[in-house]
Order: sequence, then structure tokens, then C-alpha cells
Amino acid sequence: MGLQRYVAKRTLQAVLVIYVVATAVFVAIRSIPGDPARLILGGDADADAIAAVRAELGLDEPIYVQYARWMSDLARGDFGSSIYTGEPVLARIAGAAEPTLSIGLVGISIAILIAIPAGIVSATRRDRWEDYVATGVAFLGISMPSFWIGIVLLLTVGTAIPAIPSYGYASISEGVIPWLSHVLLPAAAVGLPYAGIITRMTRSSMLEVLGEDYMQTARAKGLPPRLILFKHGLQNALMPVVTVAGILFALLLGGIVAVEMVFGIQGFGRLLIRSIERQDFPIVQGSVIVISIIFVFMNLFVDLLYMSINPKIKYGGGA
Amino acid sequence: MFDKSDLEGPRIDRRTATKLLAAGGLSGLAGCSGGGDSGGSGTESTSDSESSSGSSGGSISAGWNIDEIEYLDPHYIDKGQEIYLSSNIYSGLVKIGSDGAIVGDLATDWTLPDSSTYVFDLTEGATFHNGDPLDAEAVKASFERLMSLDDSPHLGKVSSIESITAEDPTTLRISLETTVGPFISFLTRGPGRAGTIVHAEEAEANPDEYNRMPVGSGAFELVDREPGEYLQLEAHDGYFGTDEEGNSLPYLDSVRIDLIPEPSTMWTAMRGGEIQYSNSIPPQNAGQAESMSSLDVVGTNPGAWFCVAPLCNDPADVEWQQYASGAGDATSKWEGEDLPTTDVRVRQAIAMAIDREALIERAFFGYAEPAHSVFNPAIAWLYDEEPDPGQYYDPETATQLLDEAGYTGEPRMSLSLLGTPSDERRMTVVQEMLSQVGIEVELNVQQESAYWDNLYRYENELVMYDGYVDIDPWMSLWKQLKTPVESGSAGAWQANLYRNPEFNSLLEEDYQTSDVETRTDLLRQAEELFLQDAAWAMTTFPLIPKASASNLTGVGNQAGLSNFHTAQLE
Amino acid sequence: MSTDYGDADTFLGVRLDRFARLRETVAGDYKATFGLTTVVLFVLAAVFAPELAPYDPMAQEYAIMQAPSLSSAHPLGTDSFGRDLLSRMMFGARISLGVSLGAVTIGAVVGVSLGVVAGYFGGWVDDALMRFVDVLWAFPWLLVAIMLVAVFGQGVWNVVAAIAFAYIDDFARLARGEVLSIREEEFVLAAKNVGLGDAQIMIEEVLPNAVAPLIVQFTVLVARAMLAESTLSFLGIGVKPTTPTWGALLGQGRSLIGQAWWISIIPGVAIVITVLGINLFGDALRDAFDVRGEGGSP
Repeated sequence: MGLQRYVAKRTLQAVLVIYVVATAVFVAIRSIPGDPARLILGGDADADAIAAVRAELGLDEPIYVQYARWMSDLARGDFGSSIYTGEPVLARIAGAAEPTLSIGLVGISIAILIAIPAGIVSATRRDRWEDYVATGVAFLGISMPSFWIGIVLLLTVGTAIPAIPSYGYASISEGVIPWLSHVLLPAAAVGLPYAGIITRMTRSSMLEVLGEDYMQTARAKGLPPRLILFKHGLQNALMPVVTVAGILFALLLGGIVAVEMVFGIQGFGRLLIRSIERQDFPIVQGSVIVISIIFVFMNLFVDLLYMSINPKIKYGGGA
Repeated sequence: MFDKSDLEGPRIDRRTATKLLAAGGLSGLAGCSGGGDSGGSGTESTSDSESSSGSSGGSISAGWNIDEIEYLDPHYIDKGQEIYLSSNIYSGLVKIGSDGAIVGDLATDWTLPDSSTYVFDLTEGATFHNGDPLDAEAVKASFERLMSLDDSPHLGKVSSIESITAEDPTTLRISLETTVGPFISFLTRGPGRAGTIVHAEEAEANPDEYNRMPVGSGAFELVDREPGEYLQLEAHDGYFGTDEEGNSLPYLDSVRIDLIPEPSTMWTAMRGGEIQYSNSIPPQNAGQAESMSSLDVVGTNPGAWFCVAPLCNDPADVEWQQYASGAGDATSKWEGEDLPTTDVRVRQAIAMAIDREALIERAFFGYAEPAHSVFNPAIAWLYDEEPDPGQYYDPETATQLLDEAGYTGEPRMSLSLLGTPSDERRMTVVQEMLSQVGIEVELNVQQESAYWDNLYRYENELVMYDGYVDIDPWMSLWKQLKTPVESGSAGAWQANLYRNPEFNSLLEEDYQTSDVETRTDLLRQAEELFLQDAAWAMTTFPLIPKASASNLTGVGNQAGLSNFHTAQLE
Repeated sequence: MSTDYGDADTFLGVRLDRFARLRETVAGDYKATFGLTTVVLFVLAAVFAPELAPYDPMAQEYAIMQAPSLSSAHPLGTDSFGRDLLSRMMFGARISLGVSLGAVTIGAVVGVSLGVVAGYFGGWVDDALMRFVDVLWAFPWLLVAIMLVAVFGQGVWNVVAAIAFAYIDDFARLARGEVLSIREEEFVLAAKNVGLGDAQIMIEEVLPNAVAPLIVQFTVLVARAMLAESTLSFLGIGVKPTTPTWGALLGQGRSLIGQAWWISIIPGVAIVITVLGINLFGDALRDAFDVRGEGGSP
């Protein structure tokens, strides 16, 4: 099938997946015992006040009515407002997402900056000490929980360098230096495990490429080794890296939450957890939709990228 | 009853102030920092009249233990952390002075021509942050604004006002419909809430914006904020407050309030000097803070009490459990099962099995007072440090009682203890103490939403229960322990299905009495019943440690507040 | 039963000579040796914790609250309740081992079943099942964990379920991929001709030949499951407060990090070493079984 049809099919499937996930969350979060109205009013509220708040929030209606209302709002692009602060959901998410995205992006950047050169060196100097060191560090990296790395960094680098604050976040609008000083340590904590993964992947795919026929042909033709390495080798070697990096980025959420907690950063992960605990339904629902969209479309994007780089793969085949 | 002369200015002494705040049911907590000596480094809250030995100016960062500030409009504020902020941003007619007495804030003096009328003399030339005059008209407008709000939780405090007259720019007369003893305490800045003065015009023009970036008249002005991150306060140049020598306050140039909800982060920031003040550090770190010469710590009492509440009755046996707050469906799991906590001897044994001193050391790291009866130190007129009778640690008698009650196995019984994540450490310690007398306890930790759900389904034999800001026995005894009825506030918060008809009628009598002597008598009788029945196993009255860098002095901690008016850096 | 390997003997579908290769790899490569040793030690400590632990992991002794490591009675120190850290860590090993193995096993069983069925039948069955797998994949596992705890309260099973949930898609896709290439093989077509039922073919012919990469993935994911479990415990989502999983120990020590750093750091080191061991061993398995490629999972 042609590219257009493929993209259309995948997009449709993506939307379907997101819809199912959103609905599942809608139902799931309402199954959690507890009453957001009571939480808003505080434990000392009396039954009447609670009932009043529930009615105000529309929580006393049957679940299918709430669902229908939510769906029709969504169709208009209205994600609702937080039960607690009344702030529009998307605005709230955007605010909380900034620190998380900053950490994620800087983290992946650090990872790539370290890992790809390391992987290349590792492959070209296979079984020599450079390889052992790089591989060893890579393995260590993927074996450490990122929040623990954060704690260690905080204890060592954080206390040693007073210029690096031990908690909090500064938006980039306050200046690049403050922003970077707050983001650096958490990003390093998040990035290190991924650096490990990417190093190993780069290494193994470089090794494969180095052994390929066309590389030997190129060498036989007398092309300078540097050129061979970068032009032919790297391109092919990076493909799986690109694939995985894309997916990894979308999956950062799990690791980032704990790191945010260590550094006292009020990011997206914290927002999500707190909202579930407080049963702030609109925020949870909105967040899950946002996450699913990122996941699913990132996946699609990476697949397309992969296919465009490697023309050998045909659309519509197996994954 | 309060004597008219007791209530007149320029100063109401601390004892009277305490009674006023108590009778008014406020989070006034006057005199509580006095009750909060133990565990702290002994640094008392400094008085306003300390002369400025240090230099003027300077900026500090302060950590606030909350993740977002929802309300800055005092007519809607109800959380402690928000009150502490508003006390710095706004003025009131009167305020709670550094030693717990009620003294004048905007008002320099006041008199009571008769028992239901108050006449205030106001400071001349005071202004709001935006330069508008702060005179009697402005104060009147502020009250009228509150009275116009249907949904303010503080409406009740001004419902008895008959008329307000601005006789001249510096004289304000408030007439009440009837005599309301504690009325003066409602007018305190901060805890009084109703008396915190708002800029009525601005508030009415755009309430949402006012709530976000308010215009006050206090020592500090809010100039910038990032929700969930920080608030930036700057000294209000035109502030009318001065110290004893006439120097204008505040001394500091600016205060940045960082919102740090995570206790470990707060402590790391404090220890590393990134913040110079914290309005709540974790008790387990307070000890280390005490030993650090760069920090000062003081323990303050927020009028709180902690207890373990045993389920006194099977919910299936009583029809009135449905009237308790949020009446959902109670569980039927106790049907045909033995519920040990219905036996008063078991409840008493539990109360005696708790070594309060040890609990304070292990779970509060010294930052609490032992609770031997139901009245906490904020209810100063009933609180007794060593009440007799009372609940005291006595494991021998406890085991005896359990034997008598027929529980002699090993373990004697297996109970489930419900609590929230912040109770975890206390629960662990209590679990161990109860196991010493042969009671096996399983910990059931739930997030807050599920905690309440669980509680009102009465599924656990034991519940970690607490109250904050309980200033009058009406709040604890009446709402928590009286038997709930179909309508009305009695027993509306019943957590453990306690019922004693004699207890109920004593409380009903008390409700209709305003005379302090009679109330004391009735409540003592009720207390006796409470202790006999061991309705709750009281554990502690916790203290909140507040820390400051040792070069930062003069922060006012009376009544649990964090006032920066006289704070200065040395 | 005929396989495409002719007469070579197999165990669990993997050629026996591959096991020989594994032995060689482990013996020759110090990394793999280290890995195997660590894993064995970990399993021993976990299994024999009750016998080996010097103290009762729940015994609170306030007199020696927060005793530093290498004190005479407590080689790894005590925590803020005076409980011996070494004993708590040994018992914590049991739970971590159980949770990781349990979660990955459940994830594998469910995921592989889905993947094999999808790959074998193809067509709309494939599409439907894979979209279902996509839904599972898109659902943030952290959310699942929190909700499970919110509904069922704290407890080890919530952690197991949440982590298993996260790995189903991994196994499903991997199994499906394998099956897609295997199902065209001659021996499968032969089995069909002979008249064997689909279920029989899937279980007896297809699955055994797909197993090698699945075993490797299993190992890799056990390592990741340990990290995931420690993250959940650290966040306070999952096990009861008294349960001494390494992540929980780490979390409890955080507030005391200035005074008693060992409570946080030592369990952290233990996690790193154990997970490292599993990863190294998994790598050796991969080399021996001739599997390539690396998936992406939490």
C-alpha cells in the first residue's frame, strides 16, 4: 500500500488507541474509593456541604452522563478545569510539563553527547581498554536507578558546587544560566541510564556495520577510513539508535518522577501523582490523553523515519 | 463572661486573649508558643520591642511547606500556611502580639462604650500598597465586602454586626446586635480572618485577580509570583508599623517565599543555607538543626492533637451511624465477628499501652507534648499538663485488663490500624508498643481520599486520628464524640461510633452556657466520662519546628505564625 | 518431534550446544562470571534470609537508632527505628526477587500468548490483538501502580501487577516477531499438512523455536523490574511501610541523608550491583544464544 494509505491507517489506529486508553482511565479513576468533594472541603466537612460540592462539580450524575459530557467537551477541544484550582487543564499541564520536558530534553542530549562517541570508540577499539571502560560504565549506567544517581549527585556535586541549587526549578524565561543550573543535575541523573543503553546500541550496530561487505568494498576502493566511518558507517549505525531514542524519550516519565521528587521539582510526574491522590479527575484524564498522544504519535513518527532512512523496508509489513 | 474593661485597648492581656480566642472557636492559639517549649532549642519568639541591633535591609528566602497557595483573599483563606502569608501582607484592626496578647495593629487604641459597641482609634496616614488611603472608610468597606459574600467561610464572624460607622478618618465605630464576647478576636490580622483588611474596591472589581495578586496594607507587598513555585514579597515603604523606638518596619527589604512541600527537600535547602527560614522542618531533622550553630529552631503549637481512635460500636448495631459525615454504607464485616474494641477494658488497655514519652522521642523526635487527656494546650482554660485522672503509660494494668476481658491468647488479638502516609512513622511505633502487651496490629496505610472512605465505613478497629486548630471543646467533643443526629452539627464528625447518653447531655448543657465557670464544671464532668470510657487513646500534642538561620532574628512565631515584620539579618 | 534443527538435542527449545557455549562464555569473560556470581549470591541471600540474617528485620531498638555502619554489632548500621540494615536488606532481597520474577513471569505468559496467537493467525486477529497491546503500551504503568494502590491499598501484589502490566507489550511484540518468521518454515507447514490443530502447532512447534530471544528478554526485564520496583517503593507507592524492599529503605533514608547517609546509600549500592549482575548475565545469555537487538521498556 502507498505511503499515504499507510499513514492514514496508522493514524486512525493511533486515535483509536488513545480513545480506548482515555476511556479506561476515565472509568478507572472513578473507581478509586474516596470523594474529591470531601478532599476539597477538608476532612471536617459535613454531609450537606459535601453534597453541594459534588453537585457543583457534576459528580453526582450517573457515570455515562459524565462521560458523555466529557466526550462532547473534548470534541470541542475543552479539556475541562482542575477540580481544585479551577485552572484550565491544558494550562496546568503545560505549566507542569515545562520542568519535566526540560529535564528530559537536556537529559537525552547529555546521553547522546556522551553515548554516541563512546559507542563509536568502543566499536572501533573493540576489546581494548577503551572498549572495556566504555562498556563497563554503560552497564553501570543502566543498572542504577536514576533517583539514586540523583541522590548521589546531590550529595557530591550539589554540596561541592554552591552555585548549583539543591532544589527547585527556574523557567528558561528567567535566564539560561539559572535554568541550566537547576536542570543540570536532574538531567544527568535521568540521562545516565540512557547513555548506557545508547552506548551499547551504538557499539553493536557500529560493529555490525563495520563488518559489512560494502564497508570492505569502500576500503578496497581506497577511500579514506574517516570518510568510510562517518559517511557509510554512521548513517546505518544510527538507525536503530534513532528508533530507540524516540521511544525512550516518550518513556522517560517513569524515571523522571522519582528524580523530580529528589530535587523538589514540581513537574508533570508530581502533578499526575498528586492529581490521582486528590482525585482531580479532569487533570488526570487530560494528562493521560496528552501522554498517550505523545507516545503513540512519537512511535508512528519514529517508524516513518526509520522507513524513510532504510528504503528496504516496505510499508504494511511486519513491525 | 468577659468584663468590658478586659476587652478594651490598647492591649488585652494574654490570659484574656486566650479565652477570647477559645470562646470564638478560632485558630487563634494565643499563648501556644508558650506551651511549646519542650523539644525546641528554647528560643522563645522574640518580642516586637527588640531594638534593631542589626543592620536594616537585606533579603531572605523562606521555605513554606505547601505546594500551592490557592487563596490569598483573606475572606476565603482557611489554611494555616495561607494565614501565615496573609499576616505579612495584610493589616488588621488588632493583631496577636509577640507575647500572645491582643494588641493594636491599625488601631492604636479602642474602647467599649457599652458591651456591644466598639470604637477604634486608627493610625493616621496609613496606606494600602497601591497608595490608596487606609482610613476608617476603607476598613468599613472591607467589612461590608465580607458581609456581601455568600460563600465565605467567615461570614459567621460578622453576622452579628448591626452597623459600622466611620465617624472620621481615624475613628471607626462598630455596633453589634448583641454582645459577642470573642468579637475582638475576630478582628485580629491573620487568624481572625474576618478582621483582615482588604482593599474592597480592588477586591470587588476583579475578585480572581485580587485573590492572585492582592492589594494589602501590611508590612510586605506581593510583587511577583509563580504558581507552585514562589511568591516574592517586598517591603511596603508606606507601612505604618514601627518598632518601639519609632523606626519604621519592616527591617528587611524583601522576602522570597519558596513553596517546598517535600520535607526532605525543605531540610536540604535549610541545611545548605539556600533558605534562611523554614516554617516547618521535619522533626527528625530538628535535632540536627539544634546542634548546628548556624541554625535556630523553635517548636510551635498549632493547636493540634493526635490520638488512636478505637471503634466503640459495631456500625450494624447502631442506627445513628448513618448520620455521621459523608454517611456512606458502613461495613457489615463485624457481623458475627468479635470486635474487641467495643469492650471498654480493651480500650483502656490500649490507652495504657502507649508510652507517650517514648512515642515522642521515636516518632516526633522530641517535638510534641504528651497527651493524657482530651484538651490540648490551646484550650488553655481546660488544659492540664498532668491531669488526674488521665491516660498514662501502665503496661501492667493494661495486660491485667486484657486478661480480665478474656483475651489471653498469643497474640491476644489482631487489629487493623488505619492511617495516612504521613502517619506512617507513628503507626510503626504504636504497632510495636501494642505488640508489647500482646496486641498484634496490622498497618493499613491509605492515601487521604481512601482514608476517609475507609474511616466512615468503619472497617478498622483502630484509626490514627487527629485534629488541628481545635480551640474550643465544642469542636472536638461536640462534633467528634457526641452521638450524631439526623440534622445538626452534633457528632457530625464521629469517627469511631462512641456513644454515652450522659456525656451527650453534659455537652448539650454546655452548649447553652456562656459562663466560663459553669462551662468548666460541665466539661470536667464530660472529660471524666471520656476518660472512663477511653473513647480515644490520646497520644500527643505535636509541635511544629520552625527553623531560621542564626543570623536571622526577630521572626514572630506567636500563635504558630511566621511574621517577618521585625525580622532582621545580622 | 521434528524441529528445524534436525537431530540436535534441545532443552526448552534451545540447542544444548548453546548451553555449552554459555558455559564457555561465562568461564572466559570475567564480566559474565561476575554477573553469574552476583545473581547466585543474591538468590542465596534471598532464599536463605531467615537463616542467614543476624537480626529480626522488624526489631526496633531505639537505643541504637541510626547507628553508623561498621559498628561492632551492626555491620551495615541501623535505620531510624534501630532496625539492623543488613537483616532488612536480606529480607528485602526476597521481596525484590519475588516481585521481579513474578512480575516478569506474568508479563511473559500473557505477552507471549498474545504475541504467538497474533503472529500465527495474522490478519484481523493480528491487528486486533496488536492494537490491544498498543493500548496496554500507551497506558502509563506508573498510573496503573498508583491506581492499584489507591483501590486495593498497599501491598506487594499491586507492584507485581503494575510491573507485569508494563512488560506485556514487550513480550507480545517480540513473540509475534519471532512467530512471523517461524510460521513460514517448512516444519510448520508440514505439521499443518499432517493435520495438527492450531493450538497444538503453536505450543509444540512454533513456541519452542521462538524461545531463545524470549529467555534473553526475560533476563533483561528482570533487571529492569528490580529498578522499577525500587522506584515505586521509593515513591512510597506499593508496599507497606514496614516492608524492607531496597527501594523502600532508600526512600526512608532520604530525610536523614545528612545524619545517616548509609540508610540510603547502601541499599542503593546493593541495587546497582545486583541489577548489574543480572544485566551482565543476560548479556552473556544473548551472546550464547545468538540473539541480537535490544528492546525499549521501562
